[in-house]
Amino acid sequence: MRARLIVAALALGLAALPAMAADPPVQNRYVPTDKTPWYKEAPNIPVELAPLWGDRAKGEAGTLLRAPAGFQSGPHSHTADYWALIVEGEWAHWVGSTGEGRGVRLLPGAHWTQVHTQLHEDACVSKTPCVIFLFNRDPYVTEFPK
Amino acid sequence: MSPNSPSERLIAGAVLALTLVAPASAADPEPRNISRPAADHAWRKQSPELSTQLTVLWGDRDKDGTFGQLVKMPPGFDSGLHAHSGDYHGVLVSGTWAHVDASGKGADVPLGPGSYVRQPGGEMHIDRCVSQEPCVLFTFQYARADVIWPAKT
Repeated sequence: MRARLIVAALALGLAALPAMAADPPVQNRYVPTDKTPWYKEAPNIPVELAPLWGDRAKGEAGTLLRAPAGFQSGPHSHTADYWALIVEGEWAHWVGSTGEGRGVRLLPGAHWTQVHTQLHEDACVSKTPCVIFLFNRDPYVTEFPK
Repeated sequence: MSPNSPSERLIAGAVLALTLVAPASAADPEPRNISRPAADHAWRKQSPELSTQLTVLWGDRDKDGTFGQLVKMPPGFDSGLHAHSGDYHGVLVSGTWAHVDASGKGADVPLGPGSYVRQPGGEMHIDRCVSQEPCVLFTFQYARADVIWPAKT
């Protein structure tokens, strides 16, 4: 009986892993700064994105975001929590409803997190472009208030 | 109390299967809003014999499961050949980094802020900080942090 249970459990476990089983072997991969695969996030906003790994719209992903000096996002939210780091420039990130992040200077190496669906704002407050790194675990879509 | 009916066995199997495949995500901490200026990071030495410092941003580097951390390498740092059990994704935040595989590939590729390296677990490599300023590297890893040195012959 115990052996049959273990076999059943392993079968269920294996059935839950088709995506992992289909993943190619991990390869060493280099993306120097001048090879970063930037693309415009949308025609009407000056933000560029560069996927480093994963597909942010589908699940776990690491993504670079570049915004010009003076960029102001306006209120928006995302469908997933995210974890972020500043790579270049000076960034501001705040939650209007709670005051979180107001007045915090975010220079290279600074870290912040943002929970999903909560409206917040971002700005590139330096005179040079800003580059930030974003990590999300769940499908990530940006939404603006209607 | 062992399960007897087919449905009990199915439930027991599913519970066991979930336990087997989902320990990492179950161990991840609940996210919350944090704003931490770069000057407020709590750096600590990686180990007594290494000149690198680290600060964990999320997760637990001492347990299997995902975590994110910053590693600071002093100017001129050379790790020597080593490996880690788990894969990692690395994004350079500041300084100039060289990430060299066991064949020497990467030695002549200076990596500036925003550069990215995917390093498979178990593969020997070398990390160098080749700038005059310290190198700060973000890594996201899937297994507990460790350092594997080449076997002594």
